[in-house]
Amino acid sequence: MDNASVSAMLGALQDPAGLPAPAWLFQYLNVLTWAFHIAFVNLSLGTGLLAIIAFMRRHQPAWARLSVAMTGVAKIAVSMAIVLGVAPLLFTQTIYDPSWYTSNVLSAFWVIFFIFTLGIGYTLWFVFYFKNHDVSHAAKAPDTTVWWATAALSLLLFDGFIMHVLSYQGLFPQKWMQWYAPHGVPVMNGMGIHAFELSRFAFFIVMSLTMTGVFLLGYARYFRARSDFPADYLDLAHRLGVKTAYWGVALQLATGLLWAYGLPSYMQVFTQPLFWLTLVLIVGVALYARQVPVGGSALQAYSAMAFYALMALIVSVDREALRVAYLAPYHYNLASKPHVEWGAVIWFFATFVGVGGSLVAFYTTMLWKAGKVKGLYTADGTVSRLGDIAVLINWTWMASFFAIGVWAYVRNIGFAS
Amino acid sequence: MSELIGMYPTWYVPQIGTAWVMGIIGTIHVLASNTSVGAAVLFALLESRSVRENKPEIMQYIKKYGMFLLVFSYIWGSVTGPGIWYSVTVASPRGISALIHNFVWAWATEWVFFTVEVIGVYALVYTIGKIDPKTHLKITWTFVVSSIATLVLIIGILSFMMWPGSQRWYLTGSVFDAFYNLNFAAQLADRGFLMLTSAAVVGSIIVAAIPKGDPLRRDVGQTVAKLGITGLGGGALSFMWYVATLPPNALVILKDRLPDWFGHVDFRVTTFVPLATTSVLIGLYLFWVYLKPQAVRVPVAVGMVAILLVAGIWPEERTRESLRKPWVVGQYMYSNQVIGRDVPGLGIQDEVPIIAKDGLLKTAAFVPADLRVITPQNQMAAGRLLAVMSCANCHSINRDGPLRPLPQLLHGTTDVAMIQGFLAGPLAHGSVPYMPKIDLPAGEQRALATFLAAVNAGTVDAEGHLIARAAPSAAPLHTAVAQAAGVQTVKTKD
Repeated sequence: MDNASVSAMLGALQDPAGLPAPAWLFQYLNVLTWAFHIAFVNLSLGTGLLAIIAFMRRHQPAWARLSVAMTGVAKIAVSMAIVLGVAPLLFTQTIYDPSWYTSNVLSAFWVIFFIFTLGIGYTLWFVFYFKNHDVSHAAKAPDTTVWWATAALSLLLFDGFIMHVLSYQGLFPQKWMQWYAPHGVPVMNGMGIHAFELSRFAFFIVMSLTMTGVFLLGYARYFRARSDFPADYLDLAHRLGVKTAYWGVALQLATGLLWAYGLPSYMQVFTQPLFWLTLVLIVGVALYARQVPVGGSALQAYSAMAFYALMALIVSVDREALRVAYLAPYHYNLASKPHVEWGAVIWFFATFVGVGGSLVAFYTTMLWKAGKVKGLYTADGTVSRLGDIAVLINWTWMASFFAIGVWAYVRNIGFAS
Repeated sequence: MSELIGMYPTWYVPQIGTAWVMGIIGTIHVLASNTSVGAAVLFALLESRSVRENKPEIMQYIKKYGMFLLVFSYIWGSVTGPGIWYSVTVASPRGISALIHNFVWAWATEWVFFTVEVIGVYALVYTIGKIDPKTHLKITWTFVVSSIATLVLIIGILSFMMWPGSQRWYLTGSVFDAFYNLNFAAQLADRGFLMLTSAAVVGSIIVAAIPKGDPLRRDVGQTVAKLGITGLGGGALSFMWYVATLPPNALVILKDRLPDWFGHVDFRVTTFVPLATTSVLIGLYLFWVYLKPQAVRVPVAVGMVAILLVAGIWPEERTRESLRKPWVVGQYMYSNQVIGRDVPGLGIQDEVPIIAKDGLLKTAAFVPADLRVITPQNQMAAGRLLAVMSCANCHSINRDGPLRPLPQLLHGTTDVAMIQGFLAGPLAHGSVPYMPKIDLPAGEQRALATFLAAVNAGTVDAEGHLIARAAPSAAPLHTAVAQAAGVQTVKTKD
């Protein structure tokens, strides 16, 4: 297909309902929420791997404890990765509908496979958690227990690969028709995996080590406040954190450069400031992690995570910039048909900031403080007030929702059906 | 060149069709998510009582149920939630795209509550006994309101799929007009009540797991049963309200499924009998749990959950999906993903006249170049592509497929002219109430009819492959034309 035909096809595939807000807003939200998502994907895969490695060394008490802790972290991180993945999935479909839907249909079998294997993989991880959640019993667990975790992690990794394929295939609209109907005969079974880029996929996966490294620094610092956490265990977590972050950064550099070398020459990636900024940030995470002292200040330890977050955000920007560059030859116009409705935009942002902000602030502050106390935690004034505010805002949101509903419902009834 | 229509490639699933793939994933999700929201309400009621009456032992039930929910609802519920999106994406990409582009902000708002809900459920379960009861109660109440928020937000979208209920949305294109549609409040009430029942039936498993003789069994078991029975009664009443808010095309289909006293004719067994039987069975079960909480056993409770899933939610979801026919979104997009009316508020144009003029093969974006013009050599391949694009979302093309199989609907006729007559007559004029208006040019009608006749004759299979053996003789020609002309409802497996 020539570029003009591809361009016409993309234009036809864009939803005729258009965009209910400026395209840049969806683009920003897509970048931001994908960074949240990948952080928890990285945390699940990285802590999952560490839980397995630590399990193999569980006859040493510190490793047994680490395995139990990382098993629990991975369990929660998968939940967060799934729920945080909903937002970028939503915004991608909104502005890149032709790419996303075509790629999905062409590999439909794998899309359905993804759903079930994600459920099975996560269930298997829960089985591992139930067998490996008690430090006092961890050392006695049979060797075979680890197979639950290995199978779970393998499935989750493969699911990551499917997501990579679905995103990547969407970048090549000039090939879609050929993939759909090779030799002019439509193949509708959705069994095809038509394109992937291993270095790109590997880059996102090895970022898990970087994330897990900086997470361990924060973990080791957080539990210094607890007398029931032995110092040698927390020292191990810290040292391991630095080492894991090193490995993560080294592998990110290797896979990232391979990925960059493989990009189309017209993108001139090595002349782009964004490329060099990303490189500096990746190296910066390792350099920063290296200078965080064992038992150092909270600010030093937690800043390492902030450094990772900044790096992940820039990687997300890179990803979006690449997508724009891949589709540029076809003049794909994100904002071809706006029908902006600001009321709905305000509705979302008010909920995001008001409800999301107040509830997450309440939960995280309460959990943060409770986690530092052994035994029963009684809320202090701040947590108590945050709780009251969260409950009030939540109910206010619900009341507003129905108030808007009454207004709109009455307005609708005025029209004959 | 003809105007292009943004039809995506097609994913074809032999036998069960893509509809059942969506249905299976959707049914699992509905059970998991309904239970989650209903359980949140149950937790709030129980925990409030625990604090008020100083009964900390009640929290043990909440903890056990919460742990169960983490696996049951927060693995399979949260996986099948996006899973529905994914399955609809591959089965009906234009349908999901239409919803996304109308409701992206509603969905984004729901996502905020999803996130809060996931953090909330972990906070709720893992801090029982570790933080003071008053603070814990605040977690539970924020969790319950957030869970209900996810429900109210998705109902606006699901109910719009049925219809907006007035002309206003077509003129304004406003998401608020779409969201708070005529069907919204009734469907919200119906689902809200039935979620309580789901939570009660699933919660009875946890009741059964409490040691026999423990007074907690009676205490919690009776609360659970009362909640479930309330949900069942409220659900039955609000279902009648729901029926009153349905569009005329849905009522035509419903006539086929509900008894007289529901205000319609024709008692049929496809939906009403399973649903009524299941409701009575679950009502009796919950009544038994109320009277004899000490007697409940885990296998019985698990069995009731299985009955709820297979004989309750599955037929209910399938009916709700069927009632929308021939539309899939807001009565402007047909179930075969062709836009079937103008929506001036959004500048959306009816595509049926374009297809009638130029044909689907010439206008759809994903058609191989060789098939854009029909020749005697490619007629069968063109016919098969047309069948898959126009019909396979709702019909099995296989002769023995379970999803309203076309060969059976056409009574096995091998008469091409007769099938073409049906395509050119009732189908092209949109006079079959639950079918899209499919108005193809004569050449495409001929190709489609040729393919369908060949499948009926057994000379070609649903994948378009030639079958070498001799075909069995065709069934008597009670033709589709004759059926449609009399507007007799063709009753098949739904």
